[in-house]
Amino acid sequence: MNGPALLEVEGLTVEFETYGGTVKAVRGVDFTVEAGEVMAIVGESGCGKSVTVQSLMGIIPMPPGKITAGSARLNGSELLGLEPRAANAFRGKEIGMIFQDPMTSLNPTMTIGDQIAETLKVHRGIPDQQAFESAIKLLEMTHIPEAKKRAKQYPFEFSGGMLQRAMIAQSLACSPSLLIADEPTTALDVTIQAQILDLLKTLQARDSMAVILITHDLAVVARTAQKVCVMYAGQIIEHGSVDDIFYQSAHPYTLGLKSAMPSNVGDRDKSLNPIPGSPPDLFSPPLGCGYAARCPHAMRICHEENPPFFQDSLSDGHAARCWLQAPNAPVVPELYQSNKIASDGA
Amino acid sequence: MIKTRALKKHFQLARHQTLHAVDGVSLEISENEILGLVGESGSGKSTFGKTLIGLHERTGGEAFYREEALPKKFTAADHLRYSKDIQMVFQDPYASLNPRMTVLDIVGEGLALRGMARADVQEQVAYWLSRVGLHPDHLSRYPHEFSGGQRQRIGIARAMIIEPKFVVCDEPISALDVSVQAQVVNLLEDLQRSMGLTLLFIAHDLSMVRYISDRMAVMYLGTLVETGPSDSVFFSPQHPYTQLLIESNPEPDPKLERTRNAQILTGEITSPVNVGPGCRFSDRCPKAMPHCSSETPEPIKIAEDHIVACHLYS
Repeated sequence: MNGPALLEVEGLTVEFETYGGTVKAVRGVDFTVEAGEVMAIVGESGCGKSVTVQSLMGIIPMPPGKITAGSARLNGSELLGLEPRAANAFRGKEIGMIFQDPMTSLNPTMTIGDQIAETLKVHRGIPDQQAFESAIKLLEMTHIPEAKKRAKQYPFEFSGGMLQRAMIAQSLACSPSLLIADEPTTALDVTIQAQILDLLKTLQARDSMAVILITHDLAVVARTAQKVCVMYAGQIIEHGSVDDIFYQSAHPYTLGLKSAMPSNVGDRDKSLNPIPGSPPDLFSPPLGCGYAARCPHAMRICHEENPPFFQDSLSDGHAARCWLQAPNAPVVPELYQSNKIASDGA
Repeated sequence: MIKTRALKKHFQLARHQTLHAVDGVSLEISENEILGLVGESGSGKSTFGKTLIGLHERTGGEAFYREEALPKKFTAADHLRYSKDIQMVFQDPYASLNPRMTVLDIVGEGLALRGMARADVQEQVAYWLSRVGLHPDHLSRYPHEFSGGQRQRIGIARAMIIEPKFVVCDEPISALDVSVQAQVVNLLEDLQRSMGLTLLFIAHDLSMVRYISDRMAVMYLGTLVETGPSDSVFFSPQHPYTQLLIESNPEPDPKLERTRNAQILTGEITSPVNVGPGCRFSDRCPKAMPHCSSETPEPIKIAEDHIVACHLYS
């Protein structure tokens, strides 16, 4: 890779203190995002994907949350453990964020225009009138019809898709170099989802902005991302280019996720293969691989020791945290196994 | 087995404001069939399901269960009578189970209402819990002790314990994770086969509906725009709305996604309040003709069992 990446996350570990004990929500996550690329983090509920990006934004409630280890550098400067004032300076300016539920993420008592203008006033010191006019321009950029009239309306007067557009407009107000989109289309219908993904892609390409897309939907990943990290039980278990992940899945969990989805090519009679069981309890994560208890190929070592990343010898940047990728591992026909070089981290 | 003729459900919002949630839906579901009903939010698919089985009072049209006309408004006695044959599985496994009742009471309520002795109810509930993949010892637990997928299994056990003939599944998997979705869909398929059930499977996930159902019906703004065998509707959609809907459905296949030039449906679903005549989709339809907005299209049979309501085919 040439030069430092836009965002470098290393060994991120996040825990939550609860009455029931300590939840180890994120257990040592490493990844990098290059300028202008779209990276997806995929995983199911509770895998730690949202907590990962929320800790980058400094919006984890602390307590009960606690970032116990790790670092995250944006253009070389550390994001974790910032003073509230310093965190406010980059939040919304350097990194924009859009959320799953636009209805609860926008202030119901402020007009849409004022909320977008506020971002510009706070971060750029632009005067009221001018900020409001820029807000209208931003709404037009996200294809909200009659932007002038809409800017004076409140969130309840918007539909879900329109609110998501408004939130995109707000998050892009200060032209951030990185946009974090946390399940941006999960609450929307497919036709509206297609519109929003299309809008995000257009704006991303126009500003060559980097995007971290958090989603549980592999189809959305296939449509938008260039790079993918698959998360399970608080760890990244496989990362690589979108083609590596889809066509050369090296981790049994990635493969399991794919076979649990109905495929639209081929026979309808091919049955779905759900992953049996459920994810491990993160109060006391297993000693070995988090997926071992559900993995059809689990070996003894899988239960005893957490695997390191094994780097794909043929595809740069493709690696899986799985003992089946070790040089002396048995062959599993359905799994891609060209990865023979052990490596730690991403 | 199930037949509706011009079924209507309107909600009166104010004196001159009527919400046309379901506006003349004629549909037939045969014995042992899984019919998938798809549509976006606000298309009226859930309201159709609920009106069909008497959870809403019908505004107009007729509904039949095995040639027997269902009442326009269900009385308590009607509910008790028809619930023996007709059951429902709800979307939200968090909201549809009473948090203050134990699993035994929730799943066994239907049997208890029919006067079954408590010991027998307990035995039946334990059997059904294991049948849907839960531990029979969990009888005395409360809903909050279960995960979303497990709760949905409880909801399924509650519906199936009566051994119904017809079950309306209203978005039974939308609130669940991908790997759990597959578990629940497989369970439903398995029960459908072993019990000879007829299912109305309401969902917005096109790939899943195509996978599970024999026939697919597509709703838009309270009307049915297309019905036909699942694969015909999915692979050769005829109605412009169905075409755009399927076009916007992403596939878990990056190469396919890169090569396809998806045409995106612009705008949003129109308000269902005080709708006028004409095709409901005419204001967003890329192929709309002048008379589309004034004349309501009649359902046209374009192939065996494939029906489209669109002026392009008249």
